[in-house]
Amino acid sequence: MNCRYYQELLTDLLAGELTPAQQQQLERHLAECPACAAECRSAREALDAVTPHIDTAPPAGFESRLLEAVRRAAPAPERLASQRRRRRLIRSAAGIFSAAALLAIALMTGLNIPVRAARSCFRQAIVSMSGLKSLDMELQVRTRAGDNFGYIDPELDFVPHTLRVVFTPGLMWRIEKPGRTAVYDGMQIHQWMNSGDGTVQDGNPGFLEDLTSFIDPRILMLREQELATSTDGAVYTVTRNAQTIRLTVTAPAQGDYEQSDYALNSSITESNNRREYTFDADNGQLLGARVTVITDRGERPVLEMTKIVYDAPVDTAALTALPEGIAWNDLRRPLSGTRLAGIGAREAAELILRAMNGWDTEVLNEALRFFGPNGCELVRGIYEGVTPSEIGEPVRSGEYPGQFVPCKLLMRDGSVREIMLALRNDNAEGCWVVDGGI
Amino acid sequence: METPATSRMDQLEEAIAAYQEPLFRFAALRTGSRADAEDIVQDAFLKFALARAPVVQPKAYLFRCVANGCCDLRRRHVCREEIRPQMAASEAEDPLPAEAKRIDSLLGSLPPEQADVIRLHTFGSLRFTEIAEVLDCPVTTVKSRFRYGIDKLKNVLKH
Repeated sequence: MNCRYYQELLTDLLAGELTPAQQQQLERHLAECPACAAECRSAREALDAVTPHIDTAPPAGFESRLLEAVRRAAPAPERLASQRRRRRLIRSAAGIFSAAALLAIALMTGLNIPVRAARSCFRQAIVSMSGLKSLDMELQVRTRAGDNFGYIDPELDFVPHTLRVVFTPGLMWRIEKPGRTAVYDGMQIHQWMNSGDGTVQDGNPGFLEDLTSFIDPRILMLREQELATSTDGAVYTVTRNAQTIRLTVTAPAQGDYEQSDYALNSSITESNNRREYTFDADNGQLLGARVTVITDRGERPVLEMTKIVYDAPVDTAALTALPEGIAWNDLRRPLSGTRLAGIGAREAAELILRAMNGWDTEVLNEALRFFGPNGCELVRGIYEGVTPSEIGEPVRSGEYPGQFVPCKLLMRDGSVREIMLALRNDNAEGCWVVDGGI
Repeated sequence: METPATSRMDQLEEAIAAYQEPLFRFAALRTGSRADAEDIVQDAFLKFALARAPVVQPKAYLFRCVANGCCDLRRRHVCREEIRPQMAASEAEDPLPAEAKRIDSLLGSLPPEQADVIRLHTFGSLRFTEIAEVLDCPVTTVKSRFRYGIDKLKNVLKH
C-alpha cells in the first residue's frame, strides 16, 4: 500500500467514517510514516478550525412550536388524523380557511421574509415614535355606526372614524364614529351613543378591542412585535422601495371555534386576516395600515387608515368635551343585586327572558346594565311580553370571554324569533350581564 | 392500511424529533442568528408539510430546504441590515454571531461547492452518503470536494 491509498482513508478518518479494521490499518501506517502523520495532523487542525465550538441548541419550546406549526399547515385529512391524537390549543377555523392557503397567499403576494425582519420593522417604528406628542388619525371601518368599536362585519359598508390623541403631559384621547363616541380625559372614559345613553368607566380602553392599539401606534407595533415572537402560524412579508417599507402579516383567526364558529369574522382578531403596514423608509414611522379579512367568499378590506398626522397641535378642551343631556350610567358602581350570580349561563338566559315577560325590573336592571335607560326602553318595546320557547346549550366561540346562548322566543304578536344571547359574567360579582344578541 | 395522509403527519413528527436540532444548528451557524435559524427551520418543515409529492428522503430534503433558506436570507441581507436599529442585550452577549463569522471567513476562501460539503459535515453532522443525497451528486464527488476543501484550508491556515 502506498501513501496515496492512506490519504484516501484519511478523508474518511476525518469524517469519522472508517470501519474499525480500516482505522487500525491507517493508524499502523501513521505510526510508521511521519509524512502521512504530519498530513493527518494538519488536516485535523484545518477541520477543527471550521468546526463550531459553541452551544447551538435550539431554544426551549422550539420542538413543540414546530409541531404546532406543521399541524396547522398540514392539509386537512392529515390535520384531522393528527387531531385525533392531540387536541390543538388554538384552531385556525378548520374547513373555512387553512393555514396552508394563508401561506400560499402570502407567498404569492410578496417575498416571504422571516419573522426577524418584521420584528425589526416594528422595533424601528417604536423607536422612531418614542417622542410622540400627539396623533390625528382617520380610519374607515366596516361596522355599524352605533355598534361597539371592536365590532366589524365584512359585509357592511365603511364607517368613518376619527381618532385624536394627546400623549404629553398625560394621555388623553377621543374616538368618534357617527353613532358613538368615547373620550378619555386622563381619569375616566365616557362613552355615549346617539340614543342619549352613556357610560362612565375606568381608564382601561380594552372595550375598543382591536381599535385599542390604534390609540397609540407604538402599542400597535409592540403588540405586532410580540405576536411576531410567538410562532402562531402567521406569515410575514416585507417589501421595500426608496420611500417606504411595506410589511404584511397574514394570520389565522385567533380563538377557539371548537364549540361554535359564531364569533368567527366578528372582529379582526377573530378573522383570518392580512394586516398591512407602511413605514417611512427613512425614519421608520408608521404611515398607513390596512386590514383585510379573508373568508371563504374571498378577501375584503375591513379597516383602512386614511390619514395619520403626528404632533399636530390639539385643542385639549375640545378633545375632552362631553355633550349635554346624556344619561350617564357609571359602570364602576358595584351591582346592587346578585340575582344573576352563581348560576350557569343557560339558567341566567332563562331567568332574563322570563323576566322580560312581565318586565321585572329587578332582574332586568341587573342584566341590561350595559344598555342604559334609553337602550332599556328600546329593548322593552321589542321584548316585553315574550315567552322563551326553547333555550339551547350555551357555547363559547372565538375570544369572547362570555358565552352565547341560542334561544327561541315567542314574541308578543305571535311570531317566533331566534336569537343568540351573548352573556358574560367576568365582573367582580360574577353576575351574568347581557352583552348583545338582542 | 395506513393512508398516505396519515403517514405524512407521522413522518413530520418523526422528522421534527430527529432533525430539529442539527437543522437548527446548521441554520444558526450559517446565518449567525438564532432568530433567523428558527424561521428558516420552521419554513423548511412547513414546505415539507405542504409538499405535493411524497418526501422520500426527509433528512436530505430538510437540509436542502434549510441550506437554500440560508442562501436566500444572505441574498436579502441588505434589507435587514438597514432596518435593524439596535441589537437586544441578549443578542449582544451571544457568541454565535462571532463564531459564525469566524468560520464563514475561513470557508469563504474555498470554492462554494467545497465549503458546502464541509459545512454540511461540521454544522449538520451529516455523513458523506447523506451529503450526497442533499446535493444530489455521487458520494465520490462529495469526498473529493471535502478533501480538496480541507487541503485548501490547510494552506489558508498556514498563511
